[in-house]
Amino acid sequence: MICLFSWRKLGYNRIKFSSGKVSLRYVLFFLLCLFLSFCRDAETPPVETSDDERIEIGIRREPDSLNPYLTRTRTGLMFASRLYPQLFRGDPRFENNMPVLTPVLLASHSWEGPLDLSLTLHSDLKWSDGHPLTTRDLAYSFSVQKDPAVGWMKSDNELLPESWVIKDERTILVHFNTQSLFCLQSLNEGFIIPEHHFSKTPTDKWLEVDWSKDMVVYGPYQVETYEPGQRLILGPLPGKKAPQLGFAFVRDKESLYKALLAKEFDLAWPMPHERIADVQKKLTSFSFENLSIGYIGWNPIDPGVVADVPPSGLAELERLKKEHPHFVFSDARVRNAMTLAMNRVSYNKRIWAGESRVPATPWRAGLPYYSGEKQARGYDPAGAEKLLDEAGWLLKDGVRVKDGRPFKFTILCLSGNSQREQYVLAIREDLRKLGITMEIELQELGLHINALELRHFDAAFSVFGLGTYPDLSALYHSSAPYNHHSWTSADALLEQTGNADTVEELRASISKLEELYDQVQPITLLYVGKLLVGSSDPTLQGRGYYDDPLLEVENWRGK
Amino acid sequence: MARKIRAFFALFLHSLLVLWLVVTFLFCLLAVLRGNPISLYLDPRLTPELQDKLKLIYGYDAGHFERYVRYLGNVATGELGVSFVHSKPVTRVLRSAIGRSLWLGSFSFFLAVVLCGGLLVTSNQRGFPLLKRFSRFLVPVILSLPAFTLAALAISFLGVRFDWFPIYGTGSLFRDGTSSWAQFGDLLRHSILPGFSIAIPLSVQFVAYFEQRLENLDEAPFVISARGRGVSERRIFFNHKLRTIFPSFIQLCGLYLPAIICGVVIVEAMFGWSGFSALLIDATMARDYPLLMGCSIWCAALLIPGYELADYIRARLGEGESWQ
Amino acid sequence: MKRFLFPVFLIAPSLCLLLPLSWPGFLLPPVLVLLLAWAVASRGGPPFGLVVLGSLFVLALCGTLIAPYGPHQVFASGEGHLLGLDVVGRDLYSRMLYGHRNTMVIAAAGSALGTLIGICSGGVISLVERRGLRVTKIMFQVYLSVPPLLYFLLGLCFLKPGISTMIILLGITSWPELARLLQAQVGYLRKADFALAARMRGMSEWRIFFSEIIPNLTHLVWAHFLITLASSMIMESSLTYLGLGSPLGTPSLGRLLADGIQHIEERPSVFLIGISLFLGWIISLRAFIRRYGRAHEVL
Repeated sequence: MICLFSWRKLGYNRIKFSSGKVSLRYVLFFLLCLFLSFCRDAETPPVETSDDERIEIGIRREPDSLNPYLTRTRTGLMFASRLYPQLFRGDPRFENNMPVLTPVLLASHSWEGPLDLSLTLHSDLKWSDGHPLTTRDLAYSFSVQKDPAVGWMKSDNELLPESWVIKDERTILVHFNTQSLFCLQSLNEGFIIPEHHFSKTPTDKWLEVDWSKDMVVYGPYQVETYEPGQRLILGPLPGKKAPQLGFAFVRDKESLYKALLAKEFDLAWPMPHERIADVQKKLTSFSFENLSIGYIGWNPIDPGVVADVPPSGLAELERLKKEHPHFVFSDARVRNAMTLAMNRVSYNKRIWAGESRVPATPWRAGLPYYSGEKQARGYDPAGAEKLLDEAGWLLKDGVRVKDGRPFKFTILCLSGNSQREQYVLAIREDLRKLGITMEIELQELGLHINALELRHFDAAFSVFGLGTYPDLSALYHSSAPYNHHSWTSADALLEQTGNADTVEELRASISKLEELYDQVQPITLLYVGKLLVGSSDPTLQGRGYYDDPLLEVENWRGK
Repeated sequence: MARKIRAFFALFLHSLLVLWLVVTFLFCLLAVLRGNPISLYLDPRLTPELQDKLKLIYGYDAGHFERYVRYLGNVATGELGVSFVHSKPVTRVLRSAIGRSLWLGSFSFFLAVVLCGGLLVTSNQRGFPLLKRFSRFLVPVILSLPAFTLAALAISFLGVRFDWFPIYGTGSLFRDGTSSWAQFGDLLRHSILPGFSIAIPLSVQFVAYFEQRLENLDEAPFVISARGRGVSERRIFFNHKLRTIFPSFIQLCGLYLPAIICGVVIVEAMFGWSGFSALLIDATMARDYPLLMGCSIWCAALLIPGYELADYIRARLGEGESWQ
Repeated sequence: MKRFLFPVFLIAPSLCLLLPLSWPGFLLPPVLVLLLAWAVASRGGPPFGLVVLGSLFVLALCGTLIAPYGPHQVFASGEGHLLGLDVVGRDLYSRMLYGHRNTMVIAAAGSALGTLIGICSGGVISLVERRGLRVTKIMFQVYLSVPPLLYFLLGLCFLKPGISTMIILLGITSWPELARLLQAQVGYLRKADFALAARMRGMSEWRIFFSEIIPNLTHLVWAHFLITLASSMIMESSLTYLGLGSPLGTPSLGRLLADGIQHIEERPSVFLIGISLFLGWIISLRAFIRRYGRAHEVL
């Protein structure tokens, strides 16, 4: 191109390049070849689809893996939901305080004892390569769920099936080790994968496989095109009627919003929180609570005590709390004061443009198992001051002081998230009014989790995906990995909740847990996570639930 | 001929030496400042067996020196490690990105040259005094604008408000199955806004660069003698002046080589072109150290021979000063 | 005509920020910028660049004194706020004044650091004899093989994001240019008569470098500092715009421009004032550099 340019400018018909002279005819020949290379016929005829049969979607990240047991992200689970089946389909409706599970693969299921469940599949189930879907696939999927080489992110669920016996190609008997209201739900946690395809690679080599190639799926979708980092097109399997879904991976939320506004996408999520008000004004949208909570966890243990190994078990945590209490947050009055000192409703109004809400307790963040009404505590700085005075933190020259030490602490926060930064900045301003100094430290993921596990923090901003269970043992049990705030007095009640036989028993134990939570206040809840999906196409009647913003997308363009 | 081969070989060895120094420099920087980067990325909640396996896959299972030697060996064979975020080999991730950056860089460079040429030609002709005044006055304003401003304004107005051009990506989502010409047309349509966002400030820089040199040539003896011989102004401009500043143009290509090869970060990020530079930004945001290192090495590997080649061509064409 | 504009530019920056900033007041800053560009386009005439630079410098330092609120203070409603509130509820007028100062301080500190490193390394390299010259040439090549933006991205990854990191990164990406320029000049000046005389008096090479040679290169160093200041401002604003700047909502011109562009249709005042401030700095810096360079035959 440079040579051509110089030829035109210089009026020469030979180009002086290096030490030789290149004739123009060679240049023209090269250009002709280049031109001809563009003139090859299309390899496949153009697909005749109308706009109604396509939905263009912008999302932030591509799935980390197309293997449903290796993915650790909700995006990965969303794609898995389009490709692989589950035994039941979860539904945002609840009946009798329990989630509705609609059978998908099962013709019938019945309890043959308190711990034994018999499952019978439909007779004509097939994978995309024609292979029949049988109980062998179910058994294989259950075994993968517990395989440590796979490291499935939900494998620590104690309600997963303990063992199973294949009766025939359509019937399997599953055995649980605990009786619970949530056995069916936990059975439905994982996806059913084809044994004949996935077992070709031993599970300890799964991380090295490219799962986007030669896929065997159930449907309703299959992967038509996948350009890593760019786009992924899902098309309906032959015989299934569903719109083609094109996903573009857009790195930042502002670009997502702009592209949606320019109608380059029909749907896009997540919308930047700074644009929530604009989305509500200029576009259509739908939102749903995605069963997560944002909160500040308080550490009741002195941060300098634990060395290399995270504390485990009730006894050790109790000992640490007694012998090495945190100089500020070991006192429940101080933790309660912090909750009252934050104007959480106004943070919501500003940062979420009023889309989200402050839950009273974690059990009221999208699940129906609680009883009665309960409002979150409001902003009460006078109440907070009273509690701080009672706890010995007295105001002196504008700073809270106790035993000569000022009330000063550091909050840890994950870096790279402007929403969290805005929250901690707003909190800092509110606490300053009470004479409390809060420093902010931003950390990368690995360092952050390490600090939480070793209790090397004063306070930490965290977001926790609750899941569809009311049993929050993972968050509050003394042996739980996510109990960084070291709450130890709820173990018995949590076990009671997990083992509840009836809905009434469940609601009673949750009520007691909520009372205990109010007294102890191990965390201060900030918001219920909500996913806002923007749409530039008013004909799309979208709905989402939990981790799936495309729930029943086949039916969105109106029946 | 033998001398030329020796010179070429010396150039090649020199490039290799510089590249090795770059790899070592980056590796030491990472080791000193961040230790073992996998500890920053790995989720400690994974089982120890899985953590060890991931360390093995990503190549972080040994001490610093063993990792350095292994890394050197891998770099020599083109293996740049596995990206944390994409869970794929870095080379695979880069390969698709580099094509987009090269296209955008070359397209914008071509546009910039055309715009620059147009501005130079029209402002030098007698019939366009207003354009000359206008460009003189607007040049400092456009030169001073930060790169993202034009792009952001183009997106807001031409893209969103008036919907004249697409603002995101390298092509339509559902472009498979259409003819090659249709796909190329789609690519061109998606390249217009990012291309002009880069080309306009670039062309103004070129104009500023060349105008000074062209002005100085007015007193050159060969121009005076050509005028004396009755050669038209247009022919003097095209055949005499431009030919003299052609070596400067090669020098300019050398200076803008990083932008052409590695892409223009801001524009790629704003228009969603998953090119080289956009990958770099993603790697920075996500602290994906293997990808960051891989990008840096690839950058250096492309730029070092590029600079040497630009230097060599310019030296052959007779410019005195080296780019260094 | 230009002579009449001169006194206007003396008070222009302060004038822009004290007048009402709603319609049509916010058109004044961009109009003044265009006038400035026109005024500096030709050689000669009054020193517009220097004057505007001085005013902007004073405004950057003292602007925070006239800011009505702090940069992080949050408000519920936008009544009584000159430029309105940002999405979190912070006063944009105060954030503009603080951001202006932050950007200027970061750019100036970064350039100063780069200049200092450049002087020291230029001196070291010039002291090294011929056999070391090859090594230094390769060192420069290694350093320059990685594009400057990559250094920023690497630095932001490896170091803790914040103002000091930005200053360090601006410093370490700007020193090679000065070191190269100084290397040639210092090598030449080391052979000058006054240097020989100092050597014969028994001065050490380092002492000669700092007390005899560097004072002769003040103009070069100063010109380089100003050039780097301009590019540092652009780099800092660009990185902040991309979200790679100082975290936790630290005000900056780049952030102001990002806010302005986001809401350009509803509230063009923020963008126009931000870009005018920015362009005012860059145009006046470039005009001053050109004039200074010509006057002292540096460039």
